[in-house]
Amino acid sequence: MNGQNGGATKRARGCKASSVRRYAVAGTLALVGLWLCTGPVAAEDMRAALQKAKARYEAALAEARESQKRITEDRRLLEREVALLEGQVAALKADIDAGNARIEALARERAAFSERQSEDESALRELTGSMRVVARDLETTLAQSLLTALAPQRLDALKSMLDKDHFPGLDDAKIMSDLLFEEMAFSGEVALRKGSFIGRNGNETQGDILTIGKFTAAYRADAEVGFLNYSEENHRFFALSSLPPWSIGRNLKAYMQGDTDEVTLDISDGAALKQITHTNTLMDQIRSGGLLVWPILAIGVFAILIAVERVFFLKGVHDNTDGVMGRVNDLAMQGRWEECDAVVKQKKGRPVYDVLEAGLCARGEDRETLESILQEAILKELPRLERFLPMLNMMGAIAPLLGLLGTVTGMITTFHVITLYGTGDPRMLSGGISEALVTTMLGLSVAIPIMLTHTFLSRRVEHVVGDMEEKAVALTNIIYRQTVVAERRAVSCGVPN
Amino acid sequence: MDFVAQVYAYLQPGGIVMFPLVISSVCMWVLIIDRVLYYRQLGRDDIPLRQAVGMLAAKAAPAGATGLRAGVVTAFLAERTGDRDLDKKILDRCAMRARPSIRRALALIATLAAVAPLFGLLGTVTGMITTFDVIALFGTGNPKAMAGGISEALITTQSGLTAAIPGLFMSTYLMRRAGRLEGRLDETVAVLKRHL
Repeated sequence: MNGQNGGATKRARGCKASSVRRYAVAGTLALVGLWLCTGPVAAEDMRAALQKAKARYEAALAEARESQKRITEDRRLLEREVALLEGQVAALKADIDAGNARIEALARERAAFSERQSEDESALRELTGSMRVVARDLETTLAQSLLTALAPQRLDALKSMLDKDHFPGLDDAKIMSDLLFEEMAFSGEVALRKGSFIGRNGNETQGDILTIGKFTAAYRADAEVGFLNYSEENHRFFALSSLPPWSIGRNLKAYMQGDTDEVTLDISDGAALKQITHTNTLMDQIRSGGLLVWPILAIGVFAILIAVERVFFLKGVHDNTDGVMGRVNDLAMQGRWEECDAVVKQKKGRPVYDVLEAGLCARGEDRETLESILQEAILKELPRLERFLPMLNMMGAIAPLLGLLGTVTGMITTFHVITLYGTGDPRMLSGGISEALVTTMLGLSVAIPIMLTHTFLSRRVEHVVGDMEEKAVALTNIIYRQTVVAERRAVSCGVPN
Repeated sequence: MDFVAQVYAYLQPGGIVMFPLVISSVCMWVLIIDRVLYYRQLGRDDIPLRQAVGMLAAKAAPAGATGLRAGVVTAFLAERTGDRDLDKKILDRCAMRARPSIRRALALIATLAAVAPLFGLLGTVTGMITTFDVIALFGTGNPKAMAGGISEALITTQSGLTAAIPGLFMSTYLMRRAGRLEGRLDETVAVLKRHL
C-alpha cells in the first residue's frame, strides 16, 4: 500500500515541476508585455496602432487573398504546364518506343543481310576453291598427258590460276575449258607428228612421233622404231632404253607407213613398256643362276654330242643290217660264198660285218653251234651299240637333281639375305628366289630332251638288234639249207659225201 | 577357226612351255591311236588257229586276211622248203620278223606320258620365275601383274597332268594288249610247229 502511494506521489511531483516551469515563462512574457504596453501615452497609440494593425491586417488579408488568388492562378498555370509537359513526355516515350522498334527491325534486317553476305561469300569462296581445284586437276591431267610433251607451253596458262591470291575470272574458266576440250580431242586421236625427243643415246633427236590417244607414243628416226616413255617431271619424251621385240617393231613401222590397221599399244600407262626394258633374256637368267648352271649346261652340251654321235652310228648300223646283211644273204642263197667273204672283208671291224664274218667263218659247223656263234657275235656287238646310252640315262636323271641343288643353294642365299635384312622388302627376296628357280628350269629343260633322246636311241638299238637277229637266223637257215640241198644232191647222185 | 582361236586363247597364258607340251601330247595321242587301230586290225582281221593249221595243209593263204597269224603263215608259206627242221627255223624267223612291229612306239608313248608332267613342272618353274621377277620389279602391291606368272605356272601344270594321266593309262593298256598279242604269236608258232 505504501509503495503504491509512493509511486503516485513521485509522478505527481514530476507534473508539478513542469507546470511550475511553464508558469514561469508565461509570467516573464506577461511582464515584458506589460512593460511594453504600460504607459499613459501608450493608450492612444494603442488605438492608432490597432487601427493601423487592422488596416495592415486588412491589407495583409487582401494581400493574402491576392496572393492566394495569384497562387491559385499560378497553380492553375503550372498544372496546365505540367499536363502539357506530361503529354510531351508521353509523346516522346512513344517516339522512343517507335525508335526502339525500328532499331530492332533494322538490326534484324542487318542480321539477315550479313547472313546473306556470309552465304554469298562462302559461295564465292567455294566457287574460287573449286575453280582452283579444277585448275590443279587440269594441271595434273595435262602434266600426265603425252600432248604436253609436244606443246609444253600450254601449262603456262594454268600457272597464274594456281596462285592463292588470284581471283579466277571468266577468262580463266574459258582457258580451262578450252584446255580440257583440247585434251579430250587429243585423247581420241591417233596422229603422226614431227617432233623432238631424247634418243636412246641421250641426245636430242628429231623424228616422227606417233601418239595413240593418251596411251602410247612411238617414234621413228633413222629407220629405228621404238616406244617413247613420257616423263612427267620435265614434260619430255624419252626413247625406251631397249628396242621392242622385232615383231612389235615391224608392226609399228608398218602402222606408221599406213600398211596395217593394227598396232601394239600399252594401255597400262607405261607399266608394260617398263617391262620391255626389264625383259630378262635367257642369257641374263643363266648368268644370274649361280655356279650350278654350268654343270647343267655342260651336261646338255655333252648329251647333244652323244645323241648326234649315236644317231649317226646307229643309222649306219641299221643301213648296213638292211643292206649288207640282205646282200650277203642273197649271195649265200646262190651259194656264192667267196663273194660273201669278200664283201665282209671290206669293212672289217664294224658291227654288222663282224657278225656276218663270225657266221660265215662258222658255216662248216653244225646248226646249233652256228646259231650260238651268231648269237654270241651279236651279244658281243651289243655293248658297242649301247655305248653312251646308260650315261645318257644317268645324265637325264642328274640334270633335274642338279637344278634342284641349285635351287636349294639359291634359297639358302635368300635366307641369308633374310637373316641380314629381314623380310621387310619382298623385292630383294624375290630376286633371289627367281634366280634360285633358274637352275631348276634349266635342269628340267635339259633333262626332258635327254629323256626323249634316250628312249629314242634305246628303241633304235633294240630295233637294230632285232633286225640283226632276224637276219642272222635267216643266214643260219640259208647255210643249213645249202648243206641240206648239197646232201640231198649227193644222195640222189649216189656220190658219197 | 573359232575353235583354233579358243584353243590358242587357252594355251597362250601358259607361255612358251605350252608349245613343246602340246606337240609332245599330240604326238603321243597320234601314236596311241595308231597303235589302237593297229592292234584292232591285228585282232579283228585275224584267222582262228584252226584255220591257220588248215592253211598249212592247203599250202595256200586265204585272200584278204591281214591279221597276226595270217601274216606269219603267209610269210612262212612263201619261204617253206619242205624240210621239217629247216621249216621250224623258218617259222621262227617269220615270227621274229613280226614281233618288233607289235612293241613298236610303246616305249615312246610311255616316255612321252612321263615327260608331260615334267613339262608342266618346267612351266611352273618359269611361271614362278616370272612371278618373282614381277615382285622384284613392282613389289607385292600389284596382284594383277603377279597373276600372269601364277596362271602360267598353274596352266602348264594342269595341262601336263591332263596329258600325262590318260597317256599313262593308255600306255599300260597298250602294253598289256601287246603282251597278249605276243602270247598269241608264241602260241601260233608252237601249234604250227606241231603240225608241220
